[in-house]
Amino acid sequence: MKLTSLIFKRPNNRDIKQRPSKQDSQAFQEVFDTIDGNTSFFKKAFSGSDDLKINTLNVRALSGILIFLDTMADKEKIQKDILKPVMESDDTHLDDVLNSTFQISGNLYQAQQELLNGVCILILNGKQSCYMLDVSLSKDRQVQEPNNEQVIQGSHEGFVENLMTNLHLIRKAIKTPNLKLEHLKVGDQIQSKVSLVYREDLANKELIKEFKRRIDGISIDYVPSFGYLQELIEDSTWSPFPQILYTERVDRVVGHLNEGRVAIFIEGNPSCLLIPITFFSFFHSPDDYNSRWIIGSFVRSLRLFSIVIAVNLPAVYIAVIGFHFEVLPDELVLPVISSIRNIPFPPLIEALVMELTIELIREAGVRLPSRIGQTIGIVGGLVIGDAVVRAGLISNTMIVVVAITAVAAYSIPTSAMSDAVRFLRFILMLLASTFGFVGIAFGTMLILAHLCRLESFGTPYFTPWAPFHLKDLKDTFIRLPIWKFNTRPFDSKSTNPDRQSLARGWKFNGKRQK
Amino acid sequence: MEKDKNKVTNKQLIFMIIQAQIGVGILSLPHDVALVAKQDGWISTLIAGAISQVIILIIWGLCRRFPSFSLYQILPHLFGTVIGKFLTLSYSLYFMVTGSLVLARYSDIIDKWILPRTPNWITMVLVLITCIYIVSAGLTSIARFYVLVSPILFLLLLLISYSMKDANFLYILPIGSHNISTILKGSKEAAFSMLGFELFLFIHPFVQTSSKGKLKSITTANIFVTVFYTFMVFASLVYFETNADIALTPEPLLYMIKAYSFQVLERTDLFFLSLWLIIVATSIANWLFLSALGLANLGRKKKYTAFLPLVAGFYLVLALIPDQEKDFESFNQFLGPTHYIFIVIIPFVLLLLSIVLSKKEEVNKV
Repeated sequence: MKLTSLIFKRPNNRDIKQRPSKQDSQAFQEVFDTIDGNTSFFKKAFSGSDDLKINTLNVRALSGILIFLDTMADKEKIQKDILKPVMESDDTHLDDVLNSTFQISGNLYQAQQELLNGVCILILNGKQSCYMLDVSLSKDRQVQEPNNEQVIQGSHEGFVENLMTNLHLIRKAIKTPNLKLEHLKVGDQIQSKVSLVYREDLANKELIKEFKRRIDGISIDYVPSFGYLQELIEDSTWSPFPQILYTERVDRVVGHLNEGRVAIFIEGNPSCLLIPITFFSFFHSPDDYNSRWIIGSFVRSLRLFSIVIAVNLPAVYIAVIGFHFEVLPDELVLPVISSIRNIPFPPLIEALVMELTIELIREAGVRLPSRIGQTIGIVGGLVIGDAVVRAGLISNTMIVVVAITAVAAYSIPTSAMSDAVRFLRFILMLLASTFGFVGIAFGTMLILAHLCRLESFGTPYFTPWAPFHLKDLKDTFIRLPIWKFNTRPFDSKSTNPDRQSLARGWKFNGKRQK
Repeated sequence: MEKDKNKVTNKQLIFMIIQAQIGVGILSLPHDVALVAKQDGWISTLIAGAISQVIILIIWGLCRRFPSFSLYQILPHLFGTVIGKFLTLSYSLYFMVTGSLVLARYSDIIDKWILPRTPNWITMVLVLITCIYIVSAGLTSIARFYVLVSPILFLLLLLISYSMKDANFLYILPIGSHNISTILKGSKEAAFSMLGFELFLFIHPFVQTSSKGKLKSITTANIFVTVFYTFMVFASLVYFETNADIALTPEPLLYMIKAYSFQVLERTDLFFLSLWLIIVATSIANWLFLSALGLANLGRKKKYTAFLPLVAGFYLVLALIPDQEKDFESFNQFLGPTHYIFIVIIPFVLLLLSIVLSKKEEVNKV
């Protein structure tokens, strides 16, 4: 009872407190007159942490203190950008001396916040302001292809953990002044930087307003990663289906931005969240657009077919063996019978054991170093698979079914969707083992009804299939040639649906000039 | 219900009406019609379609006078609160009884053809849970779902067409050998399977189109259903010898498909039935929706979803009462006149009343 009330408790009469973060950013403390005052302020703020360095600076007429965090600032940069110019120049006017970018502020709280971003603070004697110079230490990963979303052809760029690098990659790819960035902050105690990226001329303003409303309504101590943010802002968390697409590929984000969607980056995360998104976007891959359209269409429809296999195949097998053996044609009956005759378990147990084994092998393999991972794969896949049949515990046909299902489930290009599919098939397996085909029909109906009621930021999740949009089918089950994409898809609710009018104008040039 | 949230487009309306009309009757319709009208059953079905078109015109005429009122709001408006409430309750009960009869026949067919040893109430609970889930999401999601599952109708059509290769078209001769009254009696049988368009009475305020557009949609739906049914009846008439075989097969379409097997699939009828399950579930969901809506209007509650479990409970109890084929007959006989009352007479009286009293909803024309 307590548990249910814990889960279902609605935050109706929760008093909305003024969040401490907002107060922090508004707090103001003037720069002290004395060096001692400033020094003790910072020492107190960082509770005397050992990496807080406060050095005194005495060059000719200038005297002051230099404050930085040993762990965040690059000492070479301090040497090169601050000390060297100050020492060498004989100008007393500091603004001219410091060539690199700097900010001036009179607020010590702001300085304290900036210190955490790797800024070095220079406070001169007798001045009511402090100089803040960016000397942050950057130890970033190289831009490289993301391991979980590889492509055969096309760009091999992927996002990294540095927000600025990620935004740079986007800006570099979309060179238009219409690309707009907005920085927001989430988190009450520790703030994370969130960046909103969209094309001003395309993105739906209602959507952005709604997103900001949701971000504003978040009250949480800390948002460490995109998974947290996703769960905090998505429409229904009581669903196995992801309603926000996250990707580490630059070209994928660029494509979606050009269709009028909105991208969200979080500091420290190589994943970018995209809204609003539909069910079918999870089955797209940049490869589709870089290969010939006929091939791309074929591969894409294969992928969508794979979801049907991944969800239904074990369930259908269980239903056939357990309830409707008469469905099998005569020629198939003998091989199947001979394989299942001596198996001691009902098909559901067989299927559950094998499916769970595959999930376990995957789970064990994911977190192991690649060399041991291979061993696990061989032991798990070959040894268990072979041994279990010889021991007479699981039938041959069941191994075939489970293997096909596993391959189908992993052919879905987005891991979140692949997880959802793998989870759903257990439900269908249970239904099939109790009701046969009737169970499968109703299970499928429940899944479809669920997909019909889902929405992602006001966009129906299952569009363009439900609600039906014939025009948008051009880039859903198949991919028509690029020159057919004259309008942007309906689901992104773009404010400017026209994309191109005559993409292959050269074909008509002769006629037009007449 | 929030008005701006529960909008249905013109095209969605077509599919909603189609899904509401095509229901459990599809399997037994050829048998029922052929019993009465013999080889002219297909003419009866066409006539039944024409009759329902007339009723649709009446219903539409009524709805046109009250563009933003559903029937549950028109009733108290024209009859006064007390009688209006009483009629709302009776409508709700009528939908419950009709719906549970459909449910009972549904689980009867599942019992006969797919799951002979599973107790009926378990399949009923499964159906009801699914339907509650479909309906609870609101009108827009219901409409989306109905459109989504509509391609199944074409699959069914395809399967039936396949069996046409063994048809003997001489079976329908001589055309029109029965007198008009026999054919009309057959139409009466067929007309019950056409029911479902009364859904329009309740959802028309949410459809985003002019009243002419609404009439077009609902007529399209009715024509499609009529053609669909006529084809089904025709197919089974030319497949079975009318006088002898069709009387023996209560579900002629299933027996037709059962005879065929493909390279990878024996017992095509099981495949057919699995698809048919989905089509019928949508019509049960419809009855559920309508009766819950009625109760919600009675209690002046805005949310109909709260009534869904209660209504589903009624359905379960009512559907468990009829036990055998014979009970269905008597159930049907009891329902016959009520269909006329609720679908034809009351809307007609309402239309007359609103014309005579010249009561009409004030429409602000922009």
